[in-house]
Amino acid sequence: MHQIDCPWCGVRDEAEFQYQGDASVTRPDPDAGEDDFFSYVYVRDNPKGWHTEWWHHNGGCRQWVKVVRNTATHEIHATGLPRDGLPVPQARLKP
Amino acid sequence: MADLQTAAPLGEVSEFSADGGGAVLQVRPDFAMVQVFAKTGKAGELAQKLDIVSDPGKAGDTSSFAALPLSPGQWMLIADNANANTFGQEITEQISGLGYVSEQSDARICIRVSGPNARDLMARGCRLDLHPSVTAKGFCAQTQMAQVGVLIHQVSDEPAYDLYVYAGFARSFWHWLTETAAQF
Amino acid sequence: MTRQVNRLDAGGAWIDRDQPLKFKFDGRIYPGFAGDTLASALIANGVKLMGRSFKYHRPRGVLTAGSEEPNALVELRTGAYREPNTRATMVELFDGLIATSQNRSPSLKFDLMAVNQLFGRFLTAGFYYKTFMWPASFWESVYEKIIRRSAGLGRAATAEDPDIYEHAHAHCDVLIVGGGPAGLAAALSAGKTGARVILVEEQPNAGGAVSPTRDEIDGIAAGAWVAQAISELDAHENVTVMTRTTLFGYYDHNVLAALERVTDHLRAAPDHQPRQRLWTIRAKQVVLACGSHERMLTFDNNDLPGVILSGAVRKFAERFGAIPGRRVAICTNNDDAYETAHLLKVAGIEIVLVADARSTLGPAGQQALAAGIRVETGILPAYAHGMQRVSGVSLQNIDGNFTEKVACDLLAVSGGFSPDVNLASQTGAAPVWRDDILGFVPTKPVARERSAGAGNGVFDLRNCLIEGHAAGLEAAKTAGAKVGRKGSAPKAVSREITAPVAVWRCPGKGKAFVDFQNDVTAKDIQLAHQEGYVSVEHVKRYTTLGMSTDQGKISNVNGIALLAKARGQDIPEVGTTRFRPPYSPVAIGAFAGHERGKNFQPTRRTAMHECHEKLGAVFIEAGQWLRPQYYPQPGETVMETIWREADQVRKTAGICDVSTLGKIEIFGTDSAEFLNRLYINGWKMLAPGKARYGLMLREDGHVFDDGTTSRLADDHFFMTTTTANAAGVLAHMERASQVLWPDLDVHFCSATEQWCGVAVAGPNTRKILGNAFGYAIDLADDALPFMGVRTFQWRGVTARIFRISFSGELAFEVNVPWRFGAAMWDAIWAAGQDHELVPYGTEALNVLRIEKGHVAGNELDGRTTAADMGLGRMMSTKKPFVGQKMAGRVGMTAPDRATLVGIKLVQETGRLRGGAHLVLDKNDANAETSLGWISSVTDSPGLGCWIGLGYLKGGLPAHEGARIHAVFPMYDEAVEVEICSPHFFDPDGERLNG
Ligand SMILES: [Zn+2]
Repeated sequence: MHQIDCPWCGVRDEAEFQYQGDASVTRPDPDAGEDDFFSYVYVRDNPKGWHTEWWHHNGGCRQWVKVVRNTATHEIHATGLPRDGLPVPQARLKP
Repeated sequence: MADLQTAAPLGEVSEFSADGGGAVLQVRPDFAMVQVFAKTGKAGELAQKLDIVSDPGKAGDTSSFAALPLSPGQWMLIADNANANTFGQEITEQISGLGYVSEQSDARICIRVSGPNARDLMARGCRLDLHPSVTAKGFCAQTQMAQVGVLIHQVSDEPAYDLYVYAGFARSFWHWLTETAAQF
Repeated sequence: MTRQVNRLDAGGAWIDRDQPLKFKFDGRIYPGFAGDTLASALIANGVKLMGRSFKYHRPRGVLTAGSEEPNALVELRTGAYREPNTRATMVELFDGLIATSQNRSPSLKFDLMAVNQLFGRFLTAGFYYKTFMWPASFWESVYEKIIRRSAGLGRAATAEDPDIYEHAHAHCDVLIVGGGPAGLAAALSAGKTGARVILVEEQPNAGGAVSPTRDEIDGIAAGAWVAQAISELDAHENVTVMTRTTLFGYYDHNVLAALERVTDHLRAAPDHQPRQRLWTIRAKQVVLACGSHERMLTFDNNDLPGVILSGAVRKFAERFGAIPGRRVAICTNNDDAYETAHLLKVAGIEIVLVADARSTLGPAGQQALAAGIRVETGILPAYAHGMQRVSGVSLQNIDGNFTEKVACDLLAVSGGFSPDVNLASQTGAAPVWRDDILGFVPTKPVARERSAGAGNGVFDLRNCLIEGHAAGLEAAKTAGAKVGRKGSAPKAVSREITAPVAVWRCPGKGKAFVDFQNDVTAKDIQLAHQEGYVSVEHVKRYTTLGMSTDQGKISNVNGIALLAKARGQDIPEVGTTRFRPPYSPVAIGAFAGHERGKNFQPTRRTAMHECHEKLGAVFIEAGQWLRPQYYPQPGETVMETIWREADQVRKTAGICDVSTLGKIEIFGTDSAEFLNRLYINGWKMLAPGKARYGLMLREDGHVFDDGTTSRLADDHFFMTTTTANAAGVLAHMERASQVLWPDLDVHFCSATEQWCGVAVAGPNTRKILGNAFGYAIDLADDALPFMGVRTFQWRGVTARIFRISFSGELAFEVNVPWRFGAAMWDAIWAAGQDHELVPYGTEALNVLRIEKGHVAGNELDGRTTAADMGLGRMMSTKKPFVGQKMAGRVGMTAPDRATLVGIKLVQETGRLRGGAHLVLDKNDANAETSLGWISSVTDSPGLGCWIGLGYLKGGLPAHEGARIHAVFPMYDEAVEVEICSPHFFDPDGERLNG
């Protein structure tokens, strides 16, 4: 059970959050082309290692929380609000 | 003032005491509650205007209402024995130009949990650490108990907690809470 | 009361001889004492046979004294309280306890299924894989029945579990697992720092493997020291000691789970008390002081009742004054068994001999010799003699040559000790092998934990205490406690330990058991190897080694060692399997806690719930909400009720609770811009006092949700969502405002429960509502036109009225704050009495909306586009919105997409079914010829026939008026249908105006 440090609420249980996917993709400008939107919606890395993700704290403050998490070890490196740029450790585990 | 018959989500139920005297639950009537939003960029000014704090987990108490910070720029203001209509209007006028007010007096019920085993009872459903070295009077948090969203406000060091629960879940939550409290 | 033949006259630290109890095992009544376990009481009464094994149904007696017990599994209690596979060694005795042996028929002593033994050579490793292979049809009809009947481990109760289970949460700086000497030393040192400490101990009493009388700590008998330590810990406000609590799971981020057996030791749980409590413990630091498990030696017939682990014999004697025999032979490969020999000798039990596998005697052996005990070196057990209980043992030297046969009624065996690395392994830290102690020990923690004591491979009492003390301090310090004076560890005298010798298979050709519960023998492991199973994980699954309820606590290392031998490798090369939670079996009820039956998830009731109850409503679950499904009258069938309700809405008037629709209040100067970006249609021109139907797409361009949103003021909107998507839409909006467009001045929150609502529909609506609200609001067309919204005061209450219609009739929705919901329903109901007002539920609502061709959940199935639903023209081209680009993809706009159509049953008989496929020719119906499907159906009272909505390739342009077939292969049905406009009823919407 993950313990996630919500920037507003503090450390809370995973059960209060809803996983909302990859936070490293940026929504294209509305006038961008179909390909850009296609990448934004569908194309994902599947890293074994560090990954920046959205965890929606819907059982607490209802903030969308950015989480840098290791998909192999479940270690959490950093959390922040949407506007925060979070450092991602460089080391990636071998796939 | 409305002359209509009102009905509470828990009906006539107002109190539950565990046989062992360890836990007491009281349904708190007649509070007015509004959710206040600061206009984008105006959170500081609004807090100053209402004389409320913005720190997460810390409920501020003015003379007339408690202010529970919900998230950046959002508070729940709760006034005891207040008229729902007039309280919302007063706040709306006070923060005019700085924020918005959503009437929530009917959206939730309030159950006060007290008694010598209040903390133990809370630990049966609340994932948060409510140890006295961690939380004290004035602590507030949004979390879940028994799968139901709860806004918690610790109102005493004794301790005692006010639990604000959505009205639709009132009976279901009360059922769990009283069944669990009965052991104390 | 009968004498307890194997109860010692003195001793038994855990029992209270002044509290005699009676219990029943397999129909016979026995005496025992308070503090006994079922196993110790049976032993005291001379009962050796306690169960039958899983596969061969061999007679089995108790093997251990703890939760690792593989053999003595019983059914406890009766009726709805019956619990199978209960370990007799963990069952605390209470007066009137009833237990039954399992896995035998008809009786424990005479078991018909024991013939399995005769076919034993067919039942070797992989037996199930090899034998029950084909034909596949035999699986359900034949094989499964045979396997279930013969392989069952106990019977689960069939009635609902009447016990209470609950969940609880705990937090601490330092969690200590295990109340043996190392755990107690850790708790004492951590507790003194002021850190918040929790100590969990599986047994009812602390002390672990320490000998209460023979060991000394801090100059007093260890038993007294343990009592003193516990009272000292109890005196610390910051320390909590939890006994009868098994830490069974070590999860991510130092979240751990423990099972507290709150009232299992009582005959019945007191009122309101749970039977068991499942704790979730969040610990900053953990000390694992889990002790070790003694292993069996692998020799022929080693599963005979009366062959017991040496340390267990000692525990039964010291804790319970119960001794499983009077004439004891001891076989060992290590020093610990000498402790048992000394203890039994002092108790006056005859020691036939100690057979030590090692070639020379260390100090422990010398002491035994000096005490007059016969000790033989270089000797192993060869075969245990006896039918249903041990009567003697043949011995051999290490080369396998017979030396002698000795008579005994108890064979105490020690094959060495495996540190209990289960919890450390659960965190992902792979254990490493240590040749000097012949065991795996935890290594490099990956979680915030450290191990201490026997669980860390430290078997000497003095060193256990030192390590425990240090671990407690370190854990407290790391958790942030201020460590002042470190104090010193409790003191004990060190003993010189002689290393054990590895004996993984005592020579022999018969059945030598490795995993007792699953009947895995040394041969099975050899066989698995021969058949090419190389990985230890594969061997585990193929042989079922370590997969029984004891999770291989005793068998794991022996099995791995035998596999290593077969592979000609060292044990570290083979490695160990990873342990998974739970450490020991946990009742499903404990995981469920309160959340079972109707409490599986919370239910939501609307403000008018009791109004519906009074009218006799039948409720249906809509997500967590309870909604009136229909309101039956005496003598009506369900369909008659639904037709009557729908019919009356069209003819007179109906009232429906619509409180469950998601409601979201939106504020801010950028609200209209925000809605513009979320909905496919435009919102900037919507005037205050007006409502509009809106449709939202997901980012991928498919339809997400729909609803009516009203503008109450320039900067104030009121949105409704479908009941099902209320939470999802709110989350979607939060993402939009927090992540995508944080600069917009837009703020919102749920108002679903603040406001409750009714829809009143039908020709008589104006009269009814006018009367109900005392004409406080003008309902005339010009005052409140279609899609108009007004706020009005009704007897001092702020109410909102919306001129919208889902049924196609003249209709209004009225919202008032929750507390006035019942009053509003009652007022409208009273006013409706003169105007034939009928309450209608979700079924009639469904009929009405299908007749109008309005889409609902069945049509919003996550695969449809706005154009598929006939709403393509709503998509604005003048502004961007979520999903716009993706909705424009080639596949999303292809002309042959299945689009919304109406479907009418043409033939006189038969019916339509949701899920039926639409095909041109019923005789050529398959996945390739299917042109679409039916999503919603109703037997329409308005049209007098079955109608439905569905999606059809080419849609109306290609098929309007065509007669095709709807096939439903599951019931072998095919009916002729006509494709028509989905707007079956009042297509021009004239009725909206009443
Ligand atoms: Zn939060």
